[in-house]
Amino acid sequence: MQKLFNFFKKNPFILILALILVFFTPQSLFAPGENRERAIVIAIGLDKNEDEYEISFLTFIPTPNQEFKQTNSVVSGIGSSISEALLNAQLTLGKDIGLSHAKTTIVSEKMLENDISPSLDYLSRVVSLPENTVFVCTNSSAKDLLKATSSLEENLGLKLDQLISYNANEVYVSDTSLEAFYQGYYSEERASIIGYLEYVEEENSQSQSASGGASDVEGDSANQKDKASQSLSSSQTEGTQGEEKERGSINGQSQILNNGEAVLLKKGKKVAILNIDNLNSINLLNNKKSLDCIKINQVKTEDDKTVDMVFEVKNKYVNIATKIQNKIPIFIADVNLGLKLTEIDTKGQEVKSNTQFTEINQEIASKIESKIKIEFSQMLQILRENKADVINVYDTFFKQNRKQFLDFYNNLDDKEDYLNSIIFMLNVRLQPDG
Amino acid sequence: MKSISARQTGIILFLTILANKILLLPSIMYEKTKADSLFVMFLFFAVELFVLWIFFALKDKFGNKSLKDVLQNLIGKSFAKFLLFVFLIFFLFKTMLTYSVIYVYLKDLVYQDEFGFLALICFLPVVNQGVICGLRAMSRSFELFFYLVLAGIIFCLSIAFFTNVSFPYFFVSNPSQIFNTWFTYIFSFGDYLVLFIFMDKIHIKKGEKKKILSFVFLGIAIVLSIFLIFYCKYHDTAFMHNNALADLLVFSVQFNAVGRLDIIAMVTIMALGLFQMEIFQFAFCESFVMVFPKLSIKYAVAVFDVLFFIVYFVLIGKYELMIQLTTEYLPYFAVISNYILPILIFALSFKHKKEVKDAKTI
Amino acid sequence: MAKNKVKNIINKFKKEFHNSNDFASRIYENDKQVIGMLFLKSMTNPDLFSQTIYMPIQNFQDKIDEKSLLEKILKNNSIEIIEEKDIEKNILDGKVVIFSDSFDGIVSVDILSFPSRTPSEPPTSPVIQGPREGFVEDFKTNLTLLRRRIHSKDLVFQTLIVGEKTNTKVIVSFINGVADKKVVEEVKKKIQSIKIDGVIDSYYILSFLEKRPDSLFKQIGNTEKPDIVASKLLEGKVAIIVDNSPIVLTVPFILMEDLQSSNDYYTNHHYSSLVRIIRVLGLMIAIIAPGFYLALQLFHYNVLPLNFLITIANTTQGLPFTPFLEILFIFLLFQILYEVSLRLPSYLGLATSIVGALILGDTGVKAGLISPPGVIIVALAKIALYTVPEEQSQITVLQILFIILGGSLGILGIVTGFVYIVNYLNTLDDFSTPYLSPYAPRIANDLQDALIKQPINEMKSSPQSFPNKNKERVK
Repeated sequence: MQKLFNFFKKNPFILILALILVFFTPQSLFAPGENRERAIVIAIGLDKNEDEYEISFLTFIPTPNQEFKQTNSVVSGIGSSISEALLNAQLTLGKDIGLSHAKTTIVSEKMLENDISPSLDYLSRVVSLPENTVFVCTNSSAKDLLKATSSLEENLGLKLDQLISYNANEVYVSDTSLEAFYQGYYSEERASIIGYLEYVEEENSQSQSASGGASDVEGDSANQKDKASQSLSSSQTEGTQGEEKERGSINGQSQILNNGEAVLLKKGKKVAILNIDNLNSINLLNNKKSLDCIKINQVKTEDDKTVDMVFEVKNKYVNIATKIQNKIPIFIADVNLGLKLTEIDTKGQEVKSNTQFTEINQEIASKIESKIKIEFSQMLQILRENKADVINVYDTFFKQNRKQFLDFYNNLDDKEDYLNSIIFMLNVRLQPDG
Repeated sequence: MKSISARQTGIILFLTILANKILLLPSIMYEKTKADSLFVMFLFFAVELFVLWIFFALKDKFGNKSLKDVLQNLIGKSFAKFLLFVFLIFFLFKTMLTYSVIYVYLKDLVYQDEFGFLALICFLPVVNQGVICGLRAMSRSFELFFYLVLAGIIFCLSIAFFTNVSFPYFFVSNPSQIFNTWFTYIFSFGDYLVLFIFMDKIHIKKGEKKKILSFVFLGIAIVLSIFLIFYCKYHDTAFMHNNALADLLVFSVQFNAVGRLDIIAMVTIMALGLFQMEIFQFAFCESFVMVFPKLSIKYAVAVFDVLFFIVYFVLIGKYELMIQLTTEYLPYFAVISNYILPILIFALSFKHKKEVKDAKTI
Repeated sequence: MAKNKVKNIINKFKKEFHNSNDFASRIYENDKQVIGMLFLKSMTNPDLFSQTIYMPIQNFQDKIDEKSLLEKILKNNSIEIIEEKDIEKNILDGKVVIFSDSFDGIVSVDILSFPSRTPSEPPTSPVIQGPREGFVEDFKTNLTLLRRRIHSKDLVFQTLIVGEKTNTKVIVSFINGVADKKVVEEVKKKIQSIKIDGVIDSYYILSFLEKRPDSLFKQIGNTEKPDIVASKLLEGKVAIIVDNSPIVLTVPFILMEDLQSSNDYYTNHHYSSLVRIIRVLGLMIAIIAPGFYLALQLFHYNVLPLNFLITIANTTQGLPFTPFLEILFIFLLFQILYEVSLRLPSYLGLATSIVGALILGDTGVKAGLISPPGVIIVALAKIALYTVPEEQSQITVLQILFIILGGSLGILGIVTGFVYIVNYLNTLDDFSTPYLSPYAPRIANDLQDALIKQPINEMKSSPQSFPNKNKERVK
């Protein structure tokens, strides 16, 4: 005994190792590994039917194979609360749910009728849903969309999160992750933008692909429906935004339609759907996005012929200034665009002018300017109607003219409605580039 | 006498400045003072530098004397023991605070479950061994890991910096809020206090104070830039991200393209926490040996472990409570030991000098 | 009466050597005198004996005494007059002891001869460019190899005898004025205090030199190459050469020495810096990789990237082993194969590689017994181990240690285990040399030849990590 004591005194490490070997090694020696104990969730869907919540998981099912193939399945649980639904889903699976690899979170429009944040809060705090998961809204049920995604992936290798991240990089510019949602939600403006995907059943999709319109989309209000169809028709006639439009056909049954649309949220509730033009106008003020195309119709060339022209925005520099005159805040945005003529739609005529050497003349400039301004005012109208400040007006005033702005802000009757009382000035300057 | 060099002292200070402040502080401070927490940090560091200056002054005056000798010279034997006892209790709490912070972090992010005994068997033996190995071996380890810790943190910062960041707005909270926050989180500071405890073991050659200061300023710069980048990145959601350093990475790598890089933050933080605990426990054991000079450092380690177990499993039982305790009930204690005691010693040392001069003139 | 003296001595030693088979005695007798000779047949050259000793004595006409023996008869180089008590030792050293009834002195002649290897390139440390000589078992050859490299009167060899039965020569070598005297004295004191029955190889005295013989970690340097020893002597280290061992020990030792290879000094310094960094990486991978993989699989699946996780989940699905057992099994498999390939004759090596690599590995995976990621991780660790072959045995023990830590405690176990080991290494300071210098503590001067290597002309001064006296090397 004395000998043993001395031995441990001399080599305390052996004692610690012995403790570890006794207390920890046996149980982990026969533990099957966390990846076998937990269901690895790739995407989550949240639905609400009347009083019941449904939570669906796109989970990865490990199958022994050498071809690196990923087999997924959709599991769902129903309950009166999100946590209960989650428990039910776990019961169905017979495994604990591991949300740390969930790349996409899909919510149905119905979920967005009320403040979504409390439901998400449970997932992100308790079940550790990562905050960089992509947050998407869909018109039909999230479960259906997940099922469609699952087969989409198997058939086309197209992943939902890639689709959304492309949108996020090229269309929304700001990312549409859960974190971004929260950042908007907890800011003074309390507004944020998340992605939007349409899910369409087969009968509709045929007519859609023929017309290219979204007239069959079930909107909640007539107003939204109009806007949606407007956006699609415009994008179709202009034909410049084709890249944002991706379609995946799933076993000839249903379609996921990505128009690059986004949902405008105010206080966690859906207030409007923004189309691609609205988003472009929002991003006009964003220095980070420069790649964009502008199409103008009926321009007269040197030989007096009327053509359509497409300009590519090569570079963009936006300077935003604020001032307060007579206690009225004025938001001034100077947009400098470097343009390059990329296409001329001659409409069957013979046109001499060369795309490389066309200058931006007065007519072209005024047309571009008015087009940009009209789109900007349309966007602003939507924001004003919904009191949703996603272009950081509040922030900009707060940073640049804090005292005067707060005077103005505190005197407002409806403090959320400050967008309506602010004057916006948009100056567009054009330069040829390239 | 196994003494440590100026460089090693600097690295100890660097690690101490970093360890507690980069985990919980950025997010819980944001709740109270928003981005102005940065000014709270500035305030802290300024006041703390004064403590460092006091240390240098004492070191100049007393050379390689131990704190015990200095205190006995100044205020007599029994009072010196009392002061050392205060330090002893203080460092016990600081070690526990560090442990709690690291534990909560690891529980949230790494183990995702309670893992009490596992954490204990990982941390306590290593920390104890570090203390028994002595300050010199310990500070040599710090020297080796210094580069790794630095590389880990700079990696986290640069990755975070090159994704979306924008300036938060400052000057949104009033001075009383700032002072309130300053007072609440005072337990996470007091970085230079450890130096007093083992001042006899620090060997500073002439002109090497700059070396120590450069490490201190490096630490301060890194802490401030972590705060700044964290706020630039998260703004209003900063309070949701408890683990600042790791969360800088999690959200940076968009859509998991590369995989989870926060493993680097995890490892950095584990190592940092471990080193911090070693430093504080060593300070505890040193003051213990000074209070009870008949007992060796091994007894001090054993006493520490027993106290540790008692406080956690009998009195409190929950790690979150420990953090709450130090922010709500113990700040007065921290103010006394962090600032008042060093200033007191400094003031008394003037008296001492006078006496010596008088003796000489006579 | 006089004749009896010779016979008595011969009989006495015959008895003392227990009539051993190789113990030989010769008596030359003529009318003038009786001369006796004693030697060991196994240690001497019989031709040399008859030509240089027996024949000249026979042919000599006058009466033989010590003077004539030394000056006229024997032409051999190493002849000395010894006392009676040293006879035994001289016989054992392979000398012929000559005595007679007509004179009092005892003469010993060295005609030592035994089979020995010629210096060839040692298999453990081959070089691409550079000297290919290696130490051999015969210590005299080894001393020659060193002396040939350092032509200086300051190079000192001091012989000590260790081992009650074996009486092995242990030579302490150092350069006077470069090596620190305290270190030399300490080494000598340690060797002199050794009480052991026999020393077969230099490893026998290794544990006596170490401050902590029970430690896993190497505290004494060892090498088979004279160029390495010569350069270490120049740095101020002390070399310990043991007779019958091709391994020369050097003290003081720092870990950095094993990360350096003699190759580094014979190639471009940029390249050697790169290679040294890769060695450190290899070392880390070798120690940590299997444990880390296990920790990720058992505790932190959420850290793994999704694609990697899918691969692991797919390949481990349906395996009979749990992850921990699987890694242990593969580790054991590799270790057995390694041991077998070391012990097997080389013509069977091909067979083991076929059985090991093809049948066990490939079929194991195909049969669903082990998973490909597991095999890759363990194989990677096992291969990476040989970036630092000198630390092979230590790393293997650490590997199994970290597998246990990672598997039982997760990443936290690995990090804390690593810190524990570094803390421990920092307490090792034999001969007042910090084990992890020049990094812990940082010794600015020695960073020139650490992970980043400067060209030789830039290395102005000697290493300061360990005590030595030669401050300036390049002027």
